[in-house]
Amino acid sequence: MHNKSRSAIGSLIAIMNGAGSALIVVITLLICADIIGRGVFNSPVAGVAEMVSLSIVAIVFLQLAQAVRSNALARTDILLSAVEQKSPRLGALLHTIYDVIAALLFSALAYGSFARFLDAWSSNEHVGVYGLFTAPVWPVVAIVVLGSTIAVLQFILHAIRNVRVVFGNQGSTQS
Amino acid sequence: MTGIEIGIISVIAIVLFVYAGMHVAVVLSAVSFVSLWVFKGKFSLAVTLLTQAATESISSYVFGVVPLFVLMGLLVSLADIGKDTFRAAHHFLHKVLGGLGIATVIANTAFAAITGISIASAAVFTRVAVPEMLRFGYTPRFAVGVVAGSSVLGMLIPPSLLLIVYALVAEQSVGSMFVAGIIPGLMLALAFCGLIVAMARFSPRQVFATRDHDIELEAITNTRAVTLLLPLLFLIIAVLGGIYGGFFTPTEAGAVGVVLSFLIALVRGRLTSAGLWRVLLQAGQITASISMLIIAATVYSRMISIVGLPTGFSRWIVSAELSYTTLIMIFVLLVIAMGTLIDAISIILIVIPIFLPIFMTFDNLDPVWFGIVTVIAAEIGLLTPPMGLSAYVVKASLDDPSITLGDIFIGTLPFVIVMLLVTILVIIFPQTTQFFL
Repeated sequence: MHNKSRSAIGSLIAIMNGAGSALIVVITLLICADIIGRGVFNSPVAGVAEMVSLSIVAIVFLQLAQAVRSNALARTDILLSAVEQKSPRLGALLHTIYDVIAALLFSALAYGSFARFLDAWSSNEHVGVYGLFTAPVWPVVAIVVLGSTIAVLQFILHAIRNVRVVFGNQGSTQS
Repeated sequence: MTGIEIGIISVIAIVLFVYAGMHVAVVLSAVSFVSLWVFKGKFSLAVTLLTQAATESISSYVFGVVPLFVLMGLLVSLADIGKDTFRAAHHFLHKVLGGLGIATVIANTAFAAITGISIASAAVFTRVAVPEMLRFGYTPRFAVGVVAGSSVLGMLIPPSLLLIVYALVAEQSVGSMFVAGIIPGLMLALAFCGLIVAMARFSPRQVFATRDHDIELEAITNTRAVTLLLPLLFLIIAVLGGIYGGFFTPTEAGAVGVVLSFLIALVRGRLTSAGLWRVLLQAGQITASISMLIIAATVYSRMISIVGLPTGFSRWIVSAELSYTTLIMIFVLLVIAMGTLIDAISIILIVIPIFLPIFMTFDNLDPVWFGIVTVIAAEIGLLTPPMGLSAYVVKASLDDPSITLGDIFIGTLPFVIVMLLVTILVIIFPQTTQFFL
């Protein structure tokens, strides 16, 4: 049961990760299309700047959970790994504390961005210039809500794994 | 508690938590979040600031440079451009004393002009240049020292991720940071070459293990060596030339660079679909990690300006009658000290919101120049123990387990000293960063 919920999160995270990377390709092509359109055909692609700035936020929050999962968020772990080597239990305790703090932080972000999402949705907020190009803001804010929520879940999974090490039955830890 | 007290406690807490191994982005935003909450007494205000930072601070066209230049850097590493540049430099310099070391520095300098990440340079040149230097009788320490030392050029010579991060945090234009980095970057490269020649001349035992002249040099003609450089030159002209010539914004140049380096890797048959996907995922992960840092730094810099830390700090500096020279010395030493344990990007994000406003109270201080000084000083940390990122990357990319991390740190020491000297030069002569402006 536990494993199933884990792998479900795992595949969701993998899908988001792939979508985020694909979006980098999309903005690359979009910018190039704009350059070619402007330079060769004298007709730039409308709204590239807006699309790029919205996409960046989407890219980051689509990738966030995977970055948490694969421990790719920047940290200075030299002292921490020294502690872990001396006492795996103390190391795991520190990791648990960090995971819980991170989970709380991203919960605050999920909560705040959800309010922001409702706002953007109900007022039908747009970016761009009317008549030329407009794009709604809510899909990107929704991705922020989703990304930070999944990040919270991933931090909780990390915390559970670390708590098990703290209480000594390492044998039952699954990855 | 006064705002300034809260600010000071927050900064201390941040440094301690970062040292203790918490994710830097989480530390910066969580501590700032709590400080704002305590200072304003309103939870909702802290939530709003956090949310704004997450949704707005990176939501800009300029920020597009981050994923694009990261992806370009990964693609050019895949395309063997670093290897070819080294082969060509080797061909032209093999008769010079210490020529392979100089070839490594020059190849690194050229490679730095198409990639913005030091770790890419360190990994590529460890695999390419170290075995070759060992084969030609250089000492292992010298070989790894040259590679780790010159890898810092990747982050100083534009396009550079550190310059981009500074531009975003200090609200300067990415383009003018890229222009300002040229001369200090070339100065550093030149100083490294001078160091290598001096070491080979005056302390040859540190440089050469054996003096074996019979080793066969890979026979390539001059024409062939020049052709090896063509993809590199093409990318430099298209990307940097595009920015400096005013044809592209930095973001557009990044996109063009991605497409061109993709095509070069494709033509050379270096690109499998699995490899491409891996590079894309990696670029996404690096982007996410850096962006979370920028978001966190935004919350943090709002927090310290709301509690009034920079203003309070400036007032204290005025009353303590600290001179500009003392202050900049303290600043550089602080950055170097932090660099022994914290990575360069995080250092910039932590110190800039506090120190830039203070330094801006001095007349005629150029924030672009200040950025270059900060970047070089922070990069010294890439080479200093216990946590020198470049040294670790070199170690991880080596096939030879007999070369220890200690050897790498000892080997880079002369380069660290040269970096210090160049930092001092750039401080004394701010003109070095204003050459093309």
